[in-house]
Amino acid sequence: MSLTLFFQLLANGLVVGGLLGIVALGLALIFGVMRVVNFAHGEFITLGAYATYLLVTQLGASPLFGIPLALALGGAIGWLIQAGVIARVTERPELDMLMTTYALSVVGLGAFAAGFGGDFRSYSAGPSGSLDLAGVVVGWRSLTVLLTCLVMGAATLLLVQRARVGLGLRALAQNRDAAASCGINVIASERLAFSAAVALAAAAGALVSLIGTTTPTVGHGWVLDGFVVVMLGGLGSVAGALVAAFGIGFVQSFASYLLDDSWARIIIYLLLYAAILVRPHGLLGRQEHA
Amino acid sequence: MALVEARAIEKRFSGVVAVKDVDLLVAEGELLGLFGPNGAGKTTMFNIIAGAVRPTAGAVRFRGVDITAVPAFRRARMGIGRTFQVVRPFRGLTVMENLMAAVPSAAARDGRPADLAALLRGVGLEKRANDPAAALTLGMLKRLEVARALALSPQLLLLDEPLAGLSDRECADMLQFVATVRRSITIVMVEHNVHLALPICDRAVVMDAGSIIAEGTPGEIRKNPAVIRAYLGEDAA
Repeated sequence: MSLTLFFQLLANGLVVGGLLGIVALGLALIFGVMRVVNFAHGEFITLGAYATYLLVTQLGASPLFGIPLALALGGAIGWLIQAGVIARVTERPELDMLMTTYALSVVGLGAFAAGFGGDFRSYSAGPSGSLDLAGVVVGWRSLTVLLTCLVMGAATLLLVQRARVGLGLRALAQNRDAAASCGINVIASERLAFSAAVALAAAAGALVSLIGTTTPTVGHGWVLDGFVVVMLGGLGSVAGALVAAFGIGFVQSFASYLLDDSWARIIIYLLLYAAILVRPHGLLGRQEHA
Repeated sequence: MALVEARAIEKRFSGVVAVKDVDLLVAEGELLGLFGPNGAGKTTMFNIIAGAVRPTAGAVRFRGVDITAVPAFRRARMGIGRTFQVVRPFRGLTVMENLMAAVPSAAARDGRPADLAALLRGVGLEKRANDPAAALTLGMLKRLEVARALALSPQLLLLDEPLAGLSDRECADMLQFVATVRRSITIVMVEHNVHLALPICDRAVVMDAGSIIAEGTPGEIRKNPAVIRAYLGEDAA
């Protein structure tokens, strides 16, 4: 393998890893703070993709405006769904919560299929052309995706690790009752975490629409890999999710080229199984204490 | 006016009466001990004051304000700090971060957040400030919880079995710390070890089977026939 090809695959892996990172950040945030496995996360990705598609094709706007639109739309819808649906089953057994998010996923999938049909939808507006760095070619669209993911990932990490509100979320992730005893508004914090996570997923969807086609199931593939990333990074570990996302991105890029897409998936899931056996709490996750 | 005024409190869990028709007053500045055998209802009363449990009947007032329906986080912001019988530290956060998690609430209330370094010195954890809470022993975690509750700059401190699980030496240290803190804060302490805790109390309330069977000074409690019969035993008289 030439050095140029190596860096080309590395660049491809960075783009995939960036998107996976944003998706997994949301999953980790929701699981970390609320202990909820959000099966409907893929539909929020699809929501952002279709919102951007409509913005471009119906209003003639640049798809770049789809990113803030998806963030705002996802944040608002996430807030409403957490308040109207998720919060009502928070105290119920885990299976109730799992089935609730699964039902949300099915309802979302049905709504997108009913509204848009099964057609592959794409647009040509937005950044075009590519950047040639000593033979390594990166499209401006891909570069836009990567930079946006890096900015959103860094902003989320800063919020969680450095801001007061992040300290509250981390405390809540450790113990709900103790957080309340410290004056942390548990319900509002959970709503914020869910809302932020859905906003990230929808923004990821906007970026996915920029580099690919949009269908009712476009979010599913990303969210399945997102779950793998969350497991590898450590359940609820935001930093671990980012590290694992780029790792999976690189594995996918190199394995797809050297073998094929099917083998790339097999390798990723074998890695997940190995990680479960060897390091069940993930790369940066904590072991649970009694 | 009492700092805490709980009137006609009743609490049922699935039809089982845990507390029935209890009146409990806590005067400002006092250290009130809440004692009783297992199942007496003292922890339920404690949780009703903290806001973790809502009474089936009755009302709780704090500084004259009805807080019966006020959630726990808002009570913390009003100035009610608490610890837990089974410690609940934020294990993944550092010792200092555990305290900082409570500070925004204190600052939001009166703009005078507690001196966290001084708090850590007070509980002997100043050298562990940057260690994760998961690395602390049980005795240290108990002290960390007290410091975290104090980081709220509370007017009322609720201590839930602060001596449970501690060695004799750690018990002595904890009681000495509580005795220091009580100079500036009203304290309600639920404690199973009545022999160790009673001497530092200004006043004690003894519960049995969901009701108050006695209240008074430590001396009066020790001589109370109902307390001796239900709880202390003849040897303590």
